Amino acid sequence: MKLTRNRKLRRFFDVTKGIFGRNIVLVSGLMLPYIIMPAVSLKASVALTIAMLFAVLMGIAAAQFISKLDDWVRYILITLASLGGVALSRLVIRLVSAEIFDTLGIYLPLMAVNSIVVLCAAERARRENLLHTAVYGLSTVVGFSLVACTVGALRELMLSGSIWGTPVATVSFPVAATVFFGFIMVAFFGAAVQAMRRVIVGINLRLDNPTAEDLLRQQEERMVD
Amino acid sequence: MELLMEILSVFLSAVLLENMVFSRALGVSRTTLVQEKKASVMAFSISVLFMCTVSSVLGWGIRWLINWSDIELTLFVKQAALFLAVIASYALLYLLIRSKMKNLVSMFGNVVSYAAFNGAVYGSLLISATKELAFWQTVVHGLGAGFGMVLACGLILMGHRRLDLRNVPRAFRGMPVMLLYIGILALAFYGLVGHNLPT
Repeated sequence: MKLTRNRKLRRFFDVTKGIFGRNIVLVSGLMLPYIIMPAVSLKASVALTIAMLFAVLMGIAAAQFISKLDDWVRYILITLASLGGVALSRLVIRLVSAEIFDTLGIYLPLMAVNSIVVLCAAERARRENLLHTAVYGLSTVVGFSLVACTVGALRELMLSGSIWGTPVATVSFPVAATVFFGFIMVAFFGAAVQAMRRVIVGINLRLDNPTAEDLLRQQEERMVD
Repeated sequence: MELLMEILSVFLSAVLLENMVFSRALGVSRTTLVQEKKASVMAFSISVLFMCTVSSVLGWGIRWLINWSDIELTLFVKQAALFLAVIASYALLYLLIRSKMKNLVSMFGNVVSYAAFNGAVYGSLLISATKELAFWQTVVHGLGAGFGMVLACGLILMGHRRLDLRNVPRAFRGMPVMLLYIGILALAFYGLVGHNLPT
């Protein structure tokens, strides 16, 4: 069996780990609370992405300097650094929208204890160098922002028929802001990603390994030509 | 009697109506979604229960200190100060396990860390601060939030066992079906409250 195309696909997924390969939200199941509850508008999603970017970068930077300390001390210092990152991110978020802090509520300071910082940055920083960890951290931020912005835009559209505050349709579906809707929506997104991966792998296998019927058809086509 | 009823109402509200997982999606991560070992789930939920209770006492202390010192602080700084309670209770739990139960550190060391830096612990502190609860209310709320997390972990573990035996469509196998399951449970809890809780 030839696996050339699927090997290429695997290499692509390895390079884009965190975005497509193992999307941190839809495949790895991390950062879910921030998508399910506060991501009800595109503005909120962008604000969450900015907060995550600062928290992850500060967490990774801190993890590099304290990689030789005990595990429990490292976790504490890394989360403190990422809390500092969240504090810094407030300055940038204010530029997006001043009222967004009310929408995010307790979820903004909670960004400091996000799973990426605690699990990935802390664990990876000990094994890999700063560049590799930073690239991985940034790819997780991009992966998170893709899902957050899609979910946020869809929910905003369903809630008020607008995107980024600009009305585009006359829809009103208040249930879109609820927690259970968030869970169900993310579940369907996750299932779609799994199905898509399976379909792509199947198509690649079929293209690499044509069946006897396909070969016969190709032969006939060549004869007609 | 009145006090007992009030304690019970705060506790039940924290366990059921404002359940960290089903009403606010806090504490939902890979650790809670994919963990299928009973021992790990128990270690995780007991750690969260301990953390929620101890940090609520320390968190109230920090809030009292801020009010007593009469310093003008922004909301974010007050919220960030509460994080010190999480750190202190994590250090306490970790050192307690390391000194008394050394073999548990190798078995559940990581689980304890994941539980400590779980959104549910810090989240329960932030909620009690937002509501400006009194001392005993804060403690009961913390205890209730911890028990709510134990309940959620138990329901998720039961869901794992039931769903493993079902013929689930391929695309939904694994995390998506668990999220659907939690979503349906969240809908039931939403029915109890009747409205979306504020963020």
